[in-house]
Order: sequence, then structure tokens, then C-alpha cells
Amino acid sequence: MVKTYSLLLAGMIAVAPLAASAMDQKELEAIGKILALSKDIPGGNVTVAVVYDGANAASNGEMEKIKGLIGGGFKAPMHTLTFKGVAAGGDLGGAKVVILTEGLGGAAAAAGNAAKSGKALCATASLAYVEGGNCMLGVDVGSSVKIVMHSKSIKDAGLQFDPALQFMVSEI
Amino acid sequence: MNKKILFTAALLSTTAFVAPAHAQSINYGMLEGIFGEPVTTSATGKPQRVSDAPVAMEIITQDDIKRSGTKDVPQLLQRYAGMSVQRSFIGRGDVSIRGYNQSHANRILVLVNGRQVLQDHFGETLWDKLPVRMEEIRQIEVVRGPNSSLFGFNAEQGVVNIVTFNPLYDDIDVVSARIGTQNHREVGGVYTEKLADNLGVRVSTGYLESDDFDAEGRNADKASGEAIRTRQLNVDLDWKINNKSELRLQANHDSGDNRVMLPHGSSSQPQTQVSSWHANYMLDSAWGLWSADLYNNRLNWNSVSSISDLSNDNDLIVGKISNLIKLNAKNSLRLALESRKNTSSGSLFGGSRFSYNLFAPSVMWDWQATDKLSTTVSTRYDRVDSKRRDPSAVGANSGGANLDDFSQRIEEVSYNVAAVYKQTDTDKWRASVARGLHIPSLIELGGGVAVGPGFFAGNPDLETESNTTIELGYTKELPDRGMTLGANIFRQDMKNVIVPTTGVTSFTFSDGGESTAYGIELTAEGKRDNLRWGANYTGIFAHDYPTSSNLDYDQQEPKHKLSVMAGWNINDKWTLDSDLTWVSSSEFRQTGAVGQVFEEKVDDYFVLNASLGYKFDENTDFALSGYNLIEKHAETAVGHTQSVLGYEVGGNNIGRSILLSVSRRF
Repeated sequence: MVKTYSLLLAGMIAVAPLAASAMDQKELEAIGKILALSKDIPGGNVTVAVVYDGANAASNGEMEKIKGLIGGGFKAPMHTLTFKGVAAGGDLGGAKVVILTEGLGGAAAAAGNAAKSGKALCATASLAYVEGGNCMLGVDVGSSVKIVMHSKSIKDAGLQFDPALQFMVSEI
Repeated sequence: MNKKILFTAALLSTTAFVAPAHAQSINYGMLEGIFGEPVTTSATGKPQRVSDAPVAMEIITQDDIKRSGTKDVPQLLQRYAGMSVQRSFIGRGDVSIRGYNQSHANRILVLVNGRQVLQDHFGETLWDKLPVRMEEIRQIEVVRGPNSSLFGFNAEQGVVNIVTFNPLYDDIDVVSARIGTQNHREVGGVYTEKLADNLGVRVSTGYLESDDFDAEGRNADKASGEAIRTRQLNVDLDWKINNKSELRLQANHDSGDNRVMLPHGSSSQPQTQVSSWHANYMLDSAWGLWSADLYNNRLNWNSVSSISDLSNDNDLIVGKISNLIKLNAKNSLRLALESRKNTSSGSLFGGSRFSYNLFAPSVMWDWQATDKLSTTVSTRYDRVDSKRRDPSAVGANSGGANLDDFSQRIEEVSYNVAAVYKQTDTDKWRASVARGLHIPSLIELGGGVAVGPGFFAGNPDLETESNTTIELGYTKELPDRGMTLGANIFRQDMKNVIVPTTGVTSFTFSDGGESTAYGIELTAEGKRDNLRWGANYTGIFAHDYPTSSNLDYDQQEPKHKLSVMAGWNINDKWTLDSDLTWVSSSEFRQTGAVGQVFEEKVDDYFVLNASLGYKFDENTDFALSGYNLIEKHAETAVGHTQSVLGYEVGGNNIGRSILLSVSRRF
């Protein structure tokens, strides 16, 4: 009988998926929901500063995509997100959410630090930024949803989230 | 129409009262939206995605419930892997997980929002008295396999945790009515009011009455006619005191009568009143997430049968405190302490009063060893001290046991050890070993009452029944095909199996011996375009040591169950859902009151259900739902006559029912 079970299980094994690194609608929706579980970003209009490198095609493309997704205002459960494009090294202008596009290189650290000092949530679809401590929240909605938080950065920024969320994410 | 007026109309159309309680103030909807899958706390006590849970589990969503057209929870559960449902009357279904089902099944734990809703004097669940309407259920979380180390005794073979919508986060406003065969008449409503940004309340109420299926070949006076009548009122309030703390208060009252089969096989229609209150306080502190619960369940039960009049007043009060702390990025720890006092009195206890006090610390440690491998270890120590207060009935009804014999201390340890290995994003393996407990209930330990010329007596010498399960599970997702496949194989070792025993003049409970069962569960489900489908197979093969007239799950338990489900969104207005379950034959066994054990072959049977839904407008839905459409069948013994006392043993044949329902959201 054990042999039969083993064959049955073996027969079910198949292939694996892929992962996204540029922000899409699903990632933006997830960030909107995570904002609803933030204890420090009150509901209402929230400016999203999208940091990009105009000289980098991938970065520029991701910024344009996000701009298109947000349009005149992206409705999240408790917030309405409005777009503000910020060239790498530029002023975040008091934005409460900062999105780092891919391909920022060394500029990512500066933008992440600026978000931290402005008590803004730094979010990205490029999980390497989070793993490197340059951004607080990584969201990748592939075949399986990955949410990664950089605990120290979040703590340094003084941001807090619903404890249930914190038990469910991968923390670095 | 103004929603308050609609709700008031629904309220006035019933004659109901008070309500349920609960504990997990988690924003399920938001978390589910973020992670793209259901969220649960039923596996380890820690919020987690269902795909991370180290147990075999099923999450049945509100959409599943609505589309199924089912009128009660046992009917809904029957189609899922591992679930064993034996219906004896229209409003009565005994539910077990992974076999070992019986009349008055008491080997699983049923919760509503974390509050135990099984009746603690015997451990059985009165499914018609659940403090919740189907419309206000967010999800039903079914854990297959022991989980006593988290929830305590009775989670011996699994847990059914019903999670309702939260009045702070979910605005559920609906009135509904249902009529159909068996003179089924039902009306109810759910109303949610957000009193402030941080304060919400939900009230629900309902009234239901129905006749039974036809009682061919039986004493029609006892087995046909009105079989269920119930009315209920439930209140749920959630107050977010500040960013760090939250208080949830719930209360419930349910009264009515429902035809049941008593433990010795006689049918009866007891008057039952169930009431409860529950307070839960959660505090998010620098030292973790604290949760404190205090709840009280009360039962007043009166049964008049041909051979005896029985009564039971049960009063359970439970206090729990737990702390869940994320020690670091990889480790979480949950420490908990539970105390409870459970008291029963009434004729079932010979006019005396029998009680126990429980003290139970527990700990759970969750370790994310690597990105792919996580482990969970939990254990709980239960100490139970039982005591009979009044000696007056002991001599007459307990088979000669002394009063001191009822003062027992039971000490037991339960545990769960599990590992989850995510081989890829779409392949998950799970291995576990767990020990679950059924500590003998008040009735099993200390009941005592005259029954006809004999007597029923509890057995204070009973040992704790335990179930040690070793399990291996595998889940495969095929996102491109919109499919999920799963397989579980397991071995259950039951020790000190508590069985009813009968002598010439007595009915009691005894240690029936041991039983080992090997099992397999295969599941497949998927969604594509306008179609959703599911299929599952459960095989359970029990061997008993020693096999006796009291312990024979080898024959008593159906060995095979196969279910298929399909749903079709025909267009924007119409939906069609159907499910078919086949259950293999078994030998139903019922221990009678005075020296008789009834055995009857229960043939294999099919249950076909179908529901046709029509969306009349944005807020109004109609559904025509059929239950058991193919064939009349028996799920238990039907209509034996006890030779000495002359009462009838067993339930009714299960017939067809067709219901038309309308619901209007406001």
C-alpha cells in the first residue's frame, strides 16, 4: 500500500513558477491593503512618490507603468493613492508612500533613507532592495504572494502595522 | 428600502433572543486580499496563510456556503475530505473527522470565533443550536487530525472553527426567508451598524421550523411530524479601544426543540435552551500580542421519552490568556493558560451535581528554519479534578460506586510536532505527529439516572481516550491550469476508546480497547472561466483490539467516501452548483439501555445536492436548492424495537428536501 501511495504522490509532482520584479496592478493593490493595516498612515488621500532613474529604461518604464495604474487616483480600501514622480536624488515632497523602481543602483539607499526620515512607507516590487536594507516592504505577487518586511527599517521609521500582518510576512 | 426598517421587520417576524461570543479580531478580509488566499489561526494559534499551515485543513468560504444552498453545517461538511456525517433525523447530524463517528459524536471540537460551542457535559455538538446564521459566516476552518495541544480536549480528531464576519470590518446586512418540503419555514436577518469608526455591532436573528422526513415503518407519533423548531438571537460587538487594544463582546440565546437519538438509541425531542456570553480583549504590546478570553456557556435540556424523563443543566465557564510573540524574524512563541469549571446537574446526574475544574498551560513554538522549511512544536498539559457534590443519588444509580470514586484527578499531555517543506512555490510537503485527547465527559464519568427497570451510570474509572496520528501530506498547485491537488496518508492509534456498554440492568461507558486506522485523503479542486469544481476521496481502514460487540469500528465505519462538486456561472444572473457524495456500506451499531446491542447493515448510499441561484437585482437573490435528490437512504439504523422496554431505536430514512429561498441585502 505504501508503494501505491508513493507512486501516487510522485505522479503529482510538476513544475515551478516565475516571479515579477516590476510593479504591476496586483502589487499596487496589495500595497493599498497593507496601508489599511498601518497604524500610522491615516485613511484618505496619500501621495505616492515613485522614485526612478530617467537614464535607466527599466526604471523609467516601471515608473510610467505605475503612473498609468494610479492615473487620477488609485482607490485602495482606506486610501486614495495619487502619483508623484521623483527622479533619483530628488525631494520626496512629504509623500507618505515611496515606491522604488528597479535599476536605481546606489540611489535606492538614499531614497530609502529619505523615506525613513520622513516616516514614509518605502515599498517596492524589487525584493533585493528590502534584502539590502534599502526599503521596508517588498511585494511580489507571482504564482505565490511574497511579502517581505525589513524590520529594522520599519522600526527606525517608527511605523507600526497590524500584528497579524507581521506574523504572516517574511521578516528580514 | 431603509435597511433599519427591513431589519426590524425581520426581527419582529421571529420570536428570538440573545447570542454568541468569540475571540480573533483579525481583519481576515484585508489579509486574505493581500495574500490571495484564506487566513487562519486554527492550525497553530498564530495567524497564517492556509498554505503555510502545518496541518491538513479545509477552508470553506462564505461564497462556498452561499453557492451550496445548504441549510445547515453538517450538510455542508459532508462533501469535504475526511468528514464523516451520519444524519438520523432532519435536524440531527453527527459529525466526525477521519472516522470514529457515533451517535452523539464527541471526538471533535467545534468553535465559533474560538469559543467552544459543543456541549461540554458530553462533548457533542448541537448543530441546530450553533449561535450563528449561515449568512454571517466568513469561513469555516476544518482541521483534520488532533489539535488538542492548541485547543484542549475534544480536539482529538480535529477542529471545526466557524469564523463570523467582524462588525468592525464587515458590513453584512441581509434578510432572508426559506420555505420548502417537510413544511420547512425559516426567516432570519443580519444587521451590522458601525456606531463609530472604532465601534461596530452586528445582530442576527432567526426562526426555523420543519417536519421530519417520512417515518415509514416507525411509530409515526414519535418519528414524524414537527421535528425541529428553533429561534435564536446573536449579538457581536467589536470596540477598537485604541491602536493597541481591542475588546470584542458576544452573546447568544437559542431555544427550541429538535428530534434526536439518545445515547441508548431511543428517539426523543428535548426542549433545549442554549445561551452564552463571551468577552475577548486583545492587547498589542512590546511583549507580544496578548489575548484574554472569558466565556460562559449554559445549557438547559429536558427530554421526555417513553422510558424516562431526563434533564440536564450544564454551566461552563472558561478563562484563557495567551501571549503570542515574534521572538525574531524566524521564531514565534505562544504561551497560554486555560482554566475552566464545568458543572452539570439534573436527572441525568441523579439529581446531584457533578463538576470538574481544569487547569491547562500550553506552549507553541514556530520556527522558520529556512525559506523552505518551517517547523511547529506545541504541547499542552491538562489537569482535571472532578467531584460529585451530592451523595444522594450515588448508591442508587452509579452501580455501587462510592462518592469518593467520583473525585478523580486526570493528568494528560497532548502534543503536535509538524514540519512543512515548500519544495517550490507550488509544491508543499507536510509531515506531523500529534496526540489528541478526549478526556471523559461529565456524563461518561459521573452521570446516573434510572432508565426503565435499569439504570444509566457514568464510569468514574474511565481513562482518557487518546488519538496519536502520524501523517504525511503533499499539495501541488497548478496555477496555469487553475488547479490544486492534495494527498494525505495517515495512521491513527486510538487508545482507551470509550464505548457505551450495556448489561442486564445497566447502561454505562467503558474502556473498549484500542483501534488503529490507516487512511488516505485525495483532493483536487480548480477554477477556470465560469466553472469551479472539486473532487475528493477518503479511505479509512480501522482495526480494533480486541474486536467486541462494543468496539468494532472495522465494521461500523464506512471505509470509502467519494465526493465530486461542480459550480457553473451560467451568466450574470444564473448560477448552478451541485455535489454528489457516495458513502460505502457499514454496520451501524447502537448500544441499548438494558442488555441489547442493535446491529443493522447500512447500505452504501449517494447524496446528490443541487442549487440553482438567480440574481434578481444587485441586492436580491433567489435560490432553489435540493438535498438528497437521488434516493431515500439510511445513514444510521432505522426503527428497531427494543425488546424489553419496547422503545424504538434508530433514526429515520433520509429523504429528499427542496427549498426555495430569497435573500435581500440592504
